[in-house]
Amino acid sequence: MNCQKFEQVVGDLARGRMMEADVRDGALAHSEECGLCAARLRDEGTLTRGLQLLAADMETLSAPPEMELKLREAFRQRQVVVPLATRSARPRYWWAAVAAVLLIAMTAAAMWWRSATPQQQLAREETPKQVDAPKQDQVPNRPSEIAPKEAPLSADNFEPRRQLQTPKPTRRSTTPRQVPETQLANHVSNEIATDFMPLGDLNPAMIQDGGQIVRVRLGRSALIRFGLPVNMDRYNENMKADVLVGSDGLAHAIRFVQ
Amino acid sequence: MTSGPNLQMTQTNDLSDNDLLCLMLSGDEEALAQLYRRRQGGVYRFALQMSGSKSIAEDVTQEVFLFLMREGQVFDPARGSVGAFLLGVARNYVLRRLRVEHLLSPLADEHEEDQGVFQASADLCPLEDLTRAETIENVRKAVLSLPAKYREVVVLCELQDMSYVETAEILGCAIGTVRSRLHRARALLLSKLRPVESVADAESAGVKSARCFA
Repeated sequence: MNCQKFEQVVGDLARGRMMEADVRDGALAHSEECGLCAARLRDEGTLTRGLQLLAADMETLSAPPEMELKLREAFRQRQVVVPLATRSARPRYWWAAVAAVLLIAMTAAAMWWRSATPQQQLAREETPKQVDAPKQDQVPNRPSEIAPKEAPLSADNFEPRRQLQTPKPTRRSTTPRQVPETQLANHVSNEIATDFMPLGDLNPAMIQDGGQIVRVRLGRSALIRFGLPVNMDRYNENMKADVLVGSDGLAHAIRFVQ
Repeated sequence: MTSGPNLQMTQTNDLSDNDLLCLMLSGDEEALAQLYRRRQGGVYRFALQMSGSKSIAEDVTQEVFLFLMREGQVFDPARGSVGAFLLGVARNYVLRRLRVEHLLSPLADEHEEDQGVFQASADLCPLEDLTRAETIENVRKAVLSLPAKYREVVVLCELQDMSYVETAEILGCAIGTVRSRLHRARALLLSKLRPVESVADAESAGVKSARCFA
């Protein structure tokens, strides 16, 4: 055995770990021949004894006894709370589903109404121009009634309506993909952020008294811990994140910003 | 009626960690207590050895068992033991806590306060005891000053006396990685613990290039 090989096994040798008998004998024989390796083995032995002392010193340490009581209490509360929470959660889901269906229906109706009666809307937009016009020229409310009047309108008349109507839809349609809610909430318009993810148990009471969002930089590898995909080519790069710091000074949630 | 809890305790005493976890998840409080008593020491010591702070160790221990109550069903026996699972969870909590509290530069005040507390044991003479206490304190400081990825390997392999396989399970890395990190960690510890004068002596003796390759 030479010093390089000895170096590889000296740790296990000093720690008394299981190893092949011939390797062990070879290492011991080498340490008798080589003074430096003998000193290395002595050092490793001393370190091992120091670590064993530390381990023995901490052997008796344990969590305070009241923790068991707290955990039991939490366990009992959990046993009570969980069924109640699930029972009350069901109607809430139903209400959410009903609300969603209603919303979709209303949206569909509005879209249908828009596409079905462009003439009515045109007439409605043109009414300011006709402020000074006599009352009998005002546009009637019923689509069936305005249809005959709208028929002779030219394309020129139609253009201003499109300009008036389109600002909001065009802004949305020019974006390459639908803007997530979190992005809208973001103060910086060109940033994309994930939702806030709790760090540990996020207790709403902790952030009820206020807090602040702190912008930090951290390695992209942190994304993995939150189950988010990481581009391995940029694994070592940093990225921005917002940390929600509660009034107690602790970080309660984080979101990643791009 | 009074023998009920005792009977239950003797029953849970014989059960494996897996069985206790299943019972706990089905709502058995005694199973939780038994599992806690069995595993809290290791979790607490791991957190303490990693952080050097009693308060963090207590918080982490509590968080680990609350996590077990909440999401114990994610434990997969095929991937390792309950003990390894708990230490893995504890590791994540400790690292998160250290990251958040910027405690990666270690040595909490508690330990500095504890330094003055010296308890002589009965079977050693005072001087030996003092040396022993000093050694322990030095080693503790050296371990806490290691970077987290080396510290956790030292804590698990050396202080918790776990095998490379168990450590690799907890850390979620290869056994070879554990070995190499431990090797590097021990070298760092030696460099931290070696007295300055001995290094100077060694350098003056010209030992740097004297390694033989015979």
